[in-house]
Amino acid sequence: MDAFFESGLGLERFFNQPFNQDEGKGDNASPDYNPSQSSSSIDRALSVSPLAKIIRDTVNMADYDHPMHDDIGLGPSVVIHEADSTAVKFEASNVSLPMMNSLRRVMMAEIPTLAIDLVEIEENTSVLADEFIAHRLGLIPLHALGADKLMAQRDCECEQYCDRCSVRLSLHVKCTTDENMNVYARDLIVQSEGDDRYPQRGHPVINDPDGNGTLIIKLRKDQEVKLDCIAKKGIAKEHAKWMATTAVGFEYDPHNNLRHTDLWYEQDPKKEWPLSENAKHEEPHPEGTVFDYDAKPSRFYIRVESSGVLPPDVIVKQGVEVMQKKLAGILHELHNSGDNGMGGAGDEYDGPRSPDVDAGGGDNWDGFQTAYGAVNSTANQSAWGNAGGSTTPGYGTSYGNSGGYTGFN
Amino acid sequence: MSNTSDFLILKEDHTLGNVITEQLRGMSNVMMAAYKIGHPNVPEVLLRIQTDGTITAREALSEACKSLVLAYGQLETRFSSEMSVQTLLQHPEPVRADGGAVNGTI
Ligand SMILES: [Zn+2]
Repeated sequence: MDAFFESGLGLERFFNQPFNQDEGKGDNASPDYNPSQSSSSIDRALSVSPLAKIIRDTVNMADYDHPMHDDIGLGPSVVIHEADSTAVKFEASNVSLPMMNSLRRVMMAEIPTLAIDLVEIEENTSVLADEFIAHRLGLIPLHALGADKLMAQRDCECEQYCDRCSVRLSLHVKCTTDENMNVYARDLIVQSEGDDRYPQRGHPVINDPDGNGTLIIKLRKDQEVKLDCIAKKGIAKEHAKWMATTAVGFEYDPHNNLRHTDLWYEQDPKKEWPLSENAKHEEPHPEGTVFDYDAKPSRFYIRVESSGVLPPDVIVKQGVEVMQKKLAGILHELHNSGDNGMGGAGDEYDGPRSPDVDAGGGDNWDGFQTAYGAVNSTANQSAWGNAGGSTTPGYGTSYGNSGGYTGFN
Repeated sequence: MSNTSDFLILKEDHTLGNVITEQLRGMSNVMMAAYKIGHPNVPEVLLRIQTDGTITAREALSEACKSLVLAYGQLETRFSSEMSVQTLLQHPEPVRADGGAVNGTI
């Protein structure tokens, strides 16, 4: 008897996944993770995908190579305080709070990893129900190095799943002894043909000294479990099982000089609130300093702790990459939408404008727009032509093209 | 107003909306930049940009995105080089050069 279960309690595909555009196709990306490699990140972020070519054309790369930006003091700089196999703690300065916050959000929610998403159960005589096991399997951490190079399953040409968009694991265990048997993540056998560049991709993460991995189920004598698992690429925005991080520490202004927080106290906040360990890197404002209302934070202390599926520094790098691709998507849309009827003369225009302005529009936006698919061309849309906005590209498939975007996948 | 534009960014959220508006606010020829997410269940960001007229809102947005890509790029470059120093300090020989995290040590 076969049964199919979606593992995990995911919202349906509510969020379309912003995945890399270079997945699957012969990529000239770095062959593998190499900690000592530090190529120009923009080059890398922009060079690996079709998106890259578009961006490269639209964005003058000379801007990026401007020597000014290599000077310390202009642009972000980084000091790493601690780094090991599970966590990296660093300090970023000369960056804006929104930039670092977006990086934090992206590292927690939008780094592509692998997790079991579909379970085909052939035999289950254990005490746990099929869907219970499927859920447990979904939560098992799988090595995700190279997951970003996998196709998103919904974008793949295959009917259901294939080696380009998934990793198949099988589990077949039967207890034949009087003693109860533990089934661990190590019993999951990867069936898919792997990618030589990422030998570990899709394998369960096993960090305990016994080499067992996660405990999946316990079996009594004669109980048997036989199933196939399909691990797919996903992001934590869809389901937490795809999280690459556990905790991300984020702190700035440890002395509260900027007064972004109001410390509750009984007698004396200085005595009642112990300083954080980052406080040693900065000085408190001396007593009686005039408060600067315009001061903005520029030093951030970040600790990225990996869930084990990716090395922590890779999470940071991929976080940057995801952000860059988001931004590149907007740039692409801005540069392309001139051709597909973004503008033209809008009724509301009365002022002077340069001939190539076509994104300008009515200032009274009240047309309702559906989340997916094209914009309802109802009220007040004329000035913007179709869509009237930037569609972030690359995520289009399940909901069709949105906002006039024609897609690169 | 021809110096004002609304942009609707689909399938994005505060992650992008916040960073872009803040970047725009730092630009001298941008008078106003703001975004809203009308409903938490509707994945779209409405971004409004008003410039002083010397550039279009669209140019301003493009400029903001470019500088952000650049800034993130530099952040990554700095992070990577610091990281390789760190790895070198800890392990004189590179450990993960083959990318193969052996089971048990990622
Ligand atoms: Zn496939």
